[in-house]
Amino acid sequence: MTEALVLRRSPQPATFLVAGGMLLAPITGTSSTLGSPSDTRYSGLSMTQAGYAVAPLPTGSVADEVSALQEQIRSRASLTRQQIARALGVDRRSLSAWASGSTRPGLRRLDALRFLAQLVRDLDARHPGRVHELLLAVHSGNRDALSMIAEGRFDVAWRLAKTAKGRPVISITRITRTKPPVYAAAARALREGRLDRPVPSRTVRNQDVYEMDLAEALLFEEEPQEEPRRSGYR
Amino acid sequence: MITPEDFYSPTEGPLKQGDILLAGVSRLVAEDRFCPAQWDAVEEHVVTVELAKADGSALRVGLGPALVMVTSHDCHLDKGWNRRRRELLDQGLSEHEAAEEAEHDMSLDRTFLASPLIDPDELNVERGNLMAGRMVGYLPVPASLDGLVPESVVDLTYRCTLDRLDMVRVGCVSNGVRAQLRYALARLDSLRATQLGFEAEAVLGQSITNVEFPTRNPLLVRIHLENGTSVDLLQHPAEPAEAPSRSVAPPGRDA
Repeated sequence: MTEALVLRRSPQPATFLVAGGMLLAPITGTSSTLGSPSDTRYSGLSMTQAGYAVAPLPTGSVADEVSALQEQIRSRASLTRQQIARALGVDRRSLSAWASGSTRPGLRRLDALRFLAQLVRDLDARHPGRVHELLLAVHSGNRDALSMIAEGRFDVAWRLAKTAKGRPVISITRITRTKPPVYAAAARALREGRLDRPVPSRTVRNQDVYEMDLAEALLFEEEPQEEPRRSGYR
Repeated sequence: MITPEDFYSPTEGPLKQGDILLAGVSRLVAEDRFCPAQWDAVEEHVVTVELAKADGSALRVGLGPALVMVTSHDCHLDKGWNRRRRELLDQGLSEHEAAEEAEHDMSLDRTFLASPLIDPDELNVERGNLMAGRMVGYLPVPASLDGLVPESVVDLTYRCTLDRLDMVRVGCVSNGVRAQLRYALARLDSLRATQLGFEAEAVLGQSITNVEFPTRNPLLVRIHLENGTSVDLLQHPAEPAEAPSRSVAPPGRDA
């Protein structure tokens, strides 16, 4: 199965370079309280319906797949057939008919079922024992994850299930130290109004200061080193 | 270790590489919240943000207030302003108008890099070598005479992007210390081999009589040849040549 989770960031992707290797990793830093007026990098995390792609089960008929997914959902999330049917926007008899092979679900319904199964697996892995509660938690507008799946709004369903009531979105842990910090005297000076920001003042520089020629990187070539002895991270 | 008199310079002028600030630092941490011992005192808080990672799991950031040293070069601190000024000049504005308009753009040159000052006792290394500046990744800092900065080391392996509107300045350092900082940064990030092979002799067709690491230009490796000439093998990342005018202050403010 493939999750099409998309972290909406612009203009830079969430990657950085370490020792010549590209990693996918988050980035961090601090920002002023004024913020940057055009900074839209943290506009949110979503699972886009357009980008969502789930491979069908490799063998068997659609009926077999529906039966298998339904069973997974029932066993991991303790959802009733009625609740699963609600998430697919159909009635319970339609679901039974798909499982028996007497009728076939449309592609949109089948995708919804596959998404629900994927969401259940993910929630079960992260929050064992809470899947049922997270899927059925009622949010503003009387919405829950199942109703959003029925509307085809998988990204919203994903977000609702993961932000169910009782789970804090942000938590802060303060670590108490016994030793005075390195910044103690400076912090006291700041409180006493003795420290300021530097006065803005610029230096005119020629454009070539900001240009470089990567051909000069030859100066920094290194001899091949021994094979690393470290086998990897735990 | 360098004396405070040689290390510090008067706290004045624009933000510069080497300036010591009171700001904050942050670092992403893993689920087990592991923090190397030397940074334990730097990260007073751990903030967990649910759903913040691409797979829907939580992001955790260790952060806290800290004394930091600016590691970005002075050129970086003016980069956006110079680019904007050139654009405005191309549009026909006068020198004064272009400089003034660029100065009023609060989005320019907001960010820079800095590394925290940490207590040398927190590092599990030989203190003598550390404070003598012989350990790659660290720059020793003597206690300042005004008492605002205790004896410490700049941990260059911890680097953080800061906002220039979110800090205050505690001190400035001398030009010699700024050169030491650049050397320490280069040794940490890119310059592992300062030993030069004698293959150079074959290339040059001359015997090398001496190899010099000028103390005032520590990144420069100067090879003296038997014919009396010398070759500089690496360009020291020095200050750029001064342009015709300097220090354009915003209206109503002294530079």
